[in-house]
Amino acid sequence: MATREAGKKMIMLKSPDGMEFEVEEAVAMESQTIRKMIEDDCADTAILIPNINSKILSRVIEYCNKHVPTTGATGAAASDTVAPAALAEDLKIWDAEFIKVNRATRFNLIQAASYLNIKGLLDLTSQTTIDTISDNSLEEIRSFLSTKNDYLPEEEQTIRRENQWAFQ
Amino acid sequence: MALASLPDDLVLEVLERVKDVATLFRCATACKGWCRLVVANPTFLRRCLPEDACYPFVGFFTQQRCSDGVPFIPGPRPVLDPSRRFLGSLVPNINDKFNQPVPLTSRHGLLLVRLNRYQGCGLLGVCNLIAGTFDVLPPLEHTWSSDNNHLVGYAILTARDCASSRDHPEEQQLPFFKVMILTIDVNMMQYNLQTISSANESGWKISFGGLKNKSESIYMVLRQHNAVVCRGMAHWLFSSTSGLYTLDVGARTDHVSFTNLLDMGRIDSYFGRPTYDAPYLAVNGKGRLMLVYLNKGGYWLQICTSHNNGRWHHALARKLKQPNQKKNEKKTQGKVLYTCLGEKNGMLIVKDNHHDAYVIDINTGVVQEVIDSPHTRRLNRGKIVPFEMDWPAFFVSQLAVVPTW
Repeated sequence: MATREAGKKMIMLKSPDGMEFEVEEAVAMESQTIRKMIEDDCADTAILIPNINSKILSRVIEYCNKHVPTTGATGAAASDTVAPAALAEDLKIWDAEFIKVNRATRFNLIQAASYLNIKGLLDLTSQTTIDTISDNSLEEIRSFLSTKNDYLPEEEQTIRRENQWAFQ
Repeated sequence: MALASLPDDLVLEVLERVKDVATLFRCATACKGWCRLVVANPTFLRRCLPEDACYPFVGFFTQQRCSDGVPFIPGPRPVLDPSRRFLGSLVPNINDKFNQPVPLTSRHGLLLVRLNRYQGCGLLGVCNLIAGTFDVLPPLEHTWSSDNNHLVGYAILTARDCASSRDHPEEQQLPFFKVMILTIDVNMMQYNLQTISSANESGWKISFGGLKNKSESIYMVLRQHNAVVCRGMAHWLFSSTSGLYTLDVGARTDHVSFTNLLDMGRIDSYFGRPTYDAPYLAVNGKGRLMLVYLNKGGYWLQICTSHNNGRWHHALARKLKQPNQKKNEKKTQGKVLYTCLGEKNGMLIVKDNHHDAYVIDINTGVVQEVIDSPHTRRLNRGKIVPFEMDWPAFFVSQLAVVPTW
């Protein structure tokens, strides 16, 4: 998690359930939405992040912390010696571990990534969701995506009969 | 929390990452809301699927006479139905009204047909095989007869072909098509271009022009009757005594121009003599024109591609990967010679010297047998119309099987 250091500008993020998170400006600016607020000077005091509870927001901050470019930051010495390819590989492993969450949390993260406009997180969460359903049956897709089947049995039968190519 | 409770645009953004058409279809049928969402966003499917996956080659029509109508021969990896079908089963009612339709050219799920077998007849129709409908075009003002003195070429274009970069053709709800009929009087060295579009009520537009100063030769042959369409242009391949060239027509403007591809000397150096099969004009994966040519001795595919500067380069020679021919003993005797019949979306239709049809994947060189091959001597370039599917249009039409509104 973010550690306070002298000379670094900090930003306060507030979740609707009243929790406050102090993060480095560079970390917060991983979110294009927050970056815009900071650039427009709308971030003097704490920024309230609507619709994202403290549990999800803390995960999002964790992601941003990991993904903030390391140049000039605390890990500068380390990044000088580590090749970019190895760094990318390390991030990939970290991402894979990070996204091991339950379905509801993942959908919440998708929503948060979209609202905060964090492309990397949106890619990660959406792609993980899609990877779980590729080549799965309609029932499995419904269960994985938590969608409610609102077709009548005969309607669903018609679709399956007319489109055997998609249901084999 | 459920994915379905996210805002619509976010659901689409997540589903956009599905790259397999069948999985995508199952997702779209997970609930009625998503089904509506996909139908209401015509650009969504085109964002999901890469261009060449939107329009896969599915088979070809032949012009051979058949009591059941116009046969459609499915390709080696049938997308939907592996058995031979007839135009009448894909476009109901067409056989009731017109007894002998003749397929001429196709593009993205549309098929141009002459509605009567008699050649001089000026009555044409456009079949939409996805919707199962057909439109009869107004009678042609200048009819043609295809003989030694006259060459005839056809093109059918879609809204995407005729759109300017600012238009958003996918958002047009009305199906659009444009048809071009090119006739060339070889003796007079003149062309006559007739065009019509479904959006224009005023009927056929006609333009004339001369060929003499462009080709500098008397002898000319139209190599492909059905035009190759790419980047907003329809192209017909000609050869003359001096070399190969294309007659190009702008999809929006009907502007006619000529492009010299290769002169005779360069054709020889690229393809070698003796030439037993003529090069075939096609479009490569990057949307550029290419010439494909089968080597004598049969086991190589030569490919030339065009570049921005108008120059042509011999891009590569690809070794063909033959199908297992053990079951067909006669073919182990002597060499198999392939000749090219047609091409669509990277799949080259060829026949061998035993009149069996095959499909070659231009990107891999893999040769696959066409199971239900028509097996006739009359199978040649002028007699088949390769056909490609329009996945996005088909997809949406199938989602409409059950009303969700």
